[in-house]
Amino acid sequence: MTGPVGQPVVRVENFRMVFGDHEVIKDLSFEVAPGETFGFLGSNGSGKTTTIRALLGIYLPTAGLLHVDGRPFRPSQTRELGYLPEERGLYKKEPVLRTMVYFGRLKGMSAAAAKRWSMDYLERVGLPDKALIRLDKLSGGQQQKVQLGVTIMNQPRLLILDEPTKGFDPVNRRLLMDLIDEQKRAGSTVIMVTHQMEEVERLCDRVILLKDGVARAYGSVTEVQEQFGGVTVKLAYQGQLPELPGCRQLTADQSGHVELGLPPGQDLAELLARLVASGVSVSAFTPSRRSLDSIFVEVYGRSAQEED
Amino acid sequence: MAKSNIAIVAGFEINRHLRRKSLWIFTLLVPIAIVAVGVISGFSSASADTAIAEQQDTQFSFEYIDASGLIDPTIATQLGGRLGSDSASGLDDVKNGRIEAFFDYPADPTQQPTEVSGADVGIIQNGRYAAVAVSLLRASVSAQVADPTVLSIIQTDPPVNATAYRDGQASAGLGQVVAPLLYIVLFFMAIVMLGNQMLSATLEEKENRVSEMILTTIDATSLLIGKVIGVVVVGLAQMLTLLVPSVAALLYFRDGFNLSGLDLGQLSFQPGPMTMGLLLLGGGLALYTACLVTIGAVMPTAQDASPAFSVVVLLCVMPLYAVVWVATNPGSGIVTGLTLFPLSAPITAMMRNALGVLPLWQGLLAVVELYVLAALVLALGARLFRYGSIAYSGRVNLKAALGRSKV
Repeated sequence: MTGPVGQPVVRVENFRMVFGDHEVIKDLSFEVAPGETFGFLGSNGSGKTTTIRALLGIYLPTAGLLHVDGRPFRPSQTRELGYLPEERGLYKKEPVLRTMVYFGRLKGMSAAAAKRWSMDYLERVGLPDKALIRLDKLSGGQQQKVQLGVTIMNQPRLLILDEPTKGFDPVNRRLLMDLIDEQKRAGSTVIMVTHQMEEVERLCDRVILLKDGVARAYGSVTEVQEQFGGVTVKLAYQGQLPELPGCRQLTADQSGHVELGLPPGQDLAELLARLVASGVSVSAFTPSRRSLDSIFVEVYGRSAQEED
Repeated sequence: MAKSNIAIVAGFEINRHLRRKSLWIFTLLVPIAIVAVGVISGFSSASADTAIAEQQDTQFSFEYIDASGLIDPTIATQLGGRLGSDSASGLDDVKNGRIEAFFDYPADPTQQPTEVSGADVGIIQNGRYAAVAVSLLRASVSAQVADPTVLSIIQTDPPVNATAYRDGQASAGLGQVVAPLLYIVLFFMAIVMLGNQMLSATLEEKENRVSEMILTTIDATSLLIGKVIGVVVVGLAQMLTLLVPSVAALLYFRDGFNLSGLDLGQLSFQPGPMTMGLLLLGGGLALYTACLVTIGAVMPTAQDASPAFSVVVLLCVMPLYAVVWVATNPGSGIVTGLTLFPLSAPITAMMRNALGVLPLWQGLLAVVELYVLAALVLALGARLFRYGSIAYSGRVNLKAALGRSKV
């Protein structure tokens, strides 16, 4: 967006959202800086989409400040916004190209520029022959591609993607990620609402983890990893694990694999020596930073992961 | 940007509606349906006239008794009748099948009913007995009038030239009523042709899950205004498609249609009624449109919106069912109420305006009321659409959409 240098693109302060008797968001504050890729994480029903909708003026917030580029969002800012909502759809009875040109013009492009951009995009995503076909004649994945094209066609400075990979097969997911990566390298600020942790670790600079309407973690990916135990060790072993003070068992299976969260300052060599001394046969000892996936599981518990 | 966005939305709506085959099929089906109904109605009417004439001419045997002394025995004989003895035996003869019918003319046929009995030959054909009984009475009475002029005056409507004066000026009569009444025709056509499109204008975004995309791209008011303009232009195109060839055909084939009596020169376009009618038409369309757009904003699907849509249409066309009341009792409380009740106001006020019985204050009040209410309802619709349009599967929570202020 075009705000003053140093001003956050998105600023949310003390945001509350109540639907009837249900307080979906209790007290949420965060900022997104220009040019960063921000991961908005949380399980289903944690309030991610609600926050985005309130940020974009689709919901009226119960309380709090939600600013985009220094002020409450207005559709007049659409020239610099690309929004891929969770609930997706376009005018199903309209041809692909006409729909894309329509949105392009509403986003401030000329008809010719919108048409040119749309044809180039359709060529890139393998749909050049679908330009004059009605949207409802396309497959779900093809419709998703068109929707993504509509989202990014104005080269937005702020890109908000709510569950962007939803409905994409692995091949198209890669294509989508490449497109997002391009936007990021072009300087766009990207907010990804997701619970796909691999994508977040690969793309995001900072994250916020939401549960029950409050932020459980907020900061850079490294900061969040540190906050939840920092370094982990993945072990493959045989035998009985000894008592390991300060260490937490994050994941484990029946075949002798376990991931341990280590306390700050834990000496890895000393840990390995203690394991060996206790008679455990260690076949693999792999230190790494703690994955967001395991942090997510810790925050939400197994049920959330299974639900996803 | 808002103005250009309105134009973009309107252009998009016009383009895609005009490209739909279903629109033109429906548009062309309307005149076909009207012609079909007219042909069936005309055929039915002609058939009924023929049936009545045939019944009057039907020959069957009957007896009669005549307490009035008006029946001419010669004419009765020509029609297949003969004088009977008394009422009771005549009725018995009918019941026993000895005669087909029996007529009992009373002393004063104008005050007392003529008793007609006959063998049952079906509900339609049974009408021939009464037809012949009346025909015999009329023919007998007419035969007693010697002067053909008197007879003609009795049997037909003599020609009359009537002129009414208002403020010392001769009124144009029917000619001054026809032109302002055309506004009602236009309003009715708009209701029939545009209703569903107006309603679907805001439903479509919900049904296609486009609401979030569109509402972060353009403000709700601009979107709705653009859509309304688009739909109105499409409606005008439909009307012109119907009217232009119809009027051309009417003028070109007027002799063939046996409409030589139609003199367009007699039509009077008086500035006052025409202006008032135009204002009422505009206000009525504005309010009707605003109501449908708002219903679309509240309901999740066209199916859910149908009952509310029907109520609005019914309230709009309700005055058409009270047309005689409006014409004969224009100053009554009910008619005044219909004139000032927003949804019934357009047709009632346009009707009274055309008939020259709409007080100026009531007309102006109705006009102001229609435009102000249309603006308020449209603003309400825009807000409901803005904050309620992602209620994809249920009705918009009005309290939630209206109750909170924006932070």
